[in-house]
Amino acid sequence: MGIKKFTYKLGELNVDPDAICNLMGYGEDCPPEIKQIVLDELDGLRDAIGIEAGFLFRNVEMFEDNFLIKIGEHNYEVGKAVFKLLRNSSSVAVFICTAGEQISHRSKELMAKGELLEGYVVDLIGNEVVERAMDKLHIEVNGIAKDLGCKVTNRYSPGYCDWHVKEQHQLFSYFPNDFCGVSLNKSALMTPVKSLSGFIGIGEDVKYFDYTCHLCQSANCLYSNRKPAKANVNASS
Amino acid sequence: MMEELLAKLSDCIEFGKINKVSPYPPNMKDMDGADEITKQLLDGGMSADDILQKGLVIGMEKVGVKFRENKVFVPQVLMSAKAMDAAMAHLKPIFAESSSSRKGTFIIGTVEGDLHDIGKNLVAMMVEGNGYEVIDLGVDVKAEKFIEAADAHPGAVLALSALLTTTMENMKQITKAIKEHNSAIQICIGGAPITQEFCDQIGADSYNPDPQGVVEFLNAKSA
Repeated sequence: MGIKKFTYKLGELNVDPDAICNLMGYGEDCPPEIKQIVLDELDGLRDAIGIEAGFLFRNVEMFEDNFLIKIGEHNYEVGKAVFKLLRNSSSVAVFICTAGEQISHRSKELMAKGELLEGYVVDLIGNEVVERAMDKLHIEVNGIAKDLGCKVTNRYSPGYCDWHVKEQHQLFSYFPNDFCGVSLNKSALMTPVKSLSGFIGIGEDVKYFDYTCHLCQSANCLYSNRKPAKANVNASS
Repeated sequence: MMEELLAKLSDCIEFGKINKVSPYPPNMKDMDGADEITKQLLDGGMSADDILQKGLVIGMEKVGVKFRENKVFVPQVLMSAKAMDAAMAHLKPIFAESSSSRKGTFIIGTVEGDLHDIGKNLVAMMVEGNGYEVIDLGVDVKAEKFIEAADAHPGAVLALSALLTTTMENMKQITKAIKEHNSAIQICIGGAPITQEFCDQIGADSYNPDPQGVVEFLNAKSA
């Protein structure tokens, strides 16, 4: 199977305004003025272009002794935590997904105008958009895996736990340059910034967890307040 | 009367009341904001320095402490910064023309290879709100640019921000280059992957996990 690529409209991603308030730290107590900014900016971005995602499958060899995943000539030192979460994978869906340049541009434009709160809100909308686009892609991968008699894991990215972000360079090498409009700089920073890359494990005996945040030690993660079970990969798209 | 206005100004900063027409926060609706009160204080004869130190800085400090304690979130800090900007619009021309002095100069940037700026901007706003002149070099800043800015502002404290583990390496190289150029330049570092251990390893002078910590480091230096 070659590369599969998708383009999404913001409206079909079911971006939840409350989830964005949640990223800001609020529960049900989000001030109405701030919630209104979220709603207004979501409305303004409803025709945003450039929300794209794609994936391809690669067979893997897994070496538990050093928590190493091999794809052909490439070694991925994913660390103990990610290795265990991908355990029993016979292949992976290697993915790239982006919220697109337009959302990042809108955030920077607002910040530059001194509309700091609005710019911050749009920045968080970018986070949510890329996650919801990934939910769609995850469902696609799950459908193909099912047809093969397999299951899928959660999605994991370089930078997660002890998996070094620099390994994105070899991950990107499976795709054409600027795939989905995403490029990678020397420091392994993706542009547009609101982009994700990584692996979804596939195998007959892999596990999907509703909640994995407890496995990560990051003290500064936006998602640490988030409630479990944000995505159901078995849902129909 | 002036003391009362100063206390009101401090509240405007703490709660993010920008001006009279600003609807936020709802419990201060239709009340004068930082914009109007600053003007009233200047018209009443109070010095720009006193307005900054006895009104604005007090309010901003309260926000910084509440943010550190997770009692308020980023949106409230941004609203406070905006209220601060409204007040500073009146004070900056006076600072530029008079001998009134700020507490010091703070030069901040996100290190080479990294484009993340929200954390950097929050620190810059909080430090400015606490009475320092802030020079923001932006994102993707090379060592040479930090050094050039430090040379142009002797005594300034430099602040380096990074969000990626890969750009922590750039932070290390930039810190080394700055210290080799002039070991007396004080360097603060921060960002999600940064730790005190890393700060010690690379020879930076201060690591703080939140903006208020940077303010406290600067205040201790300028005391």
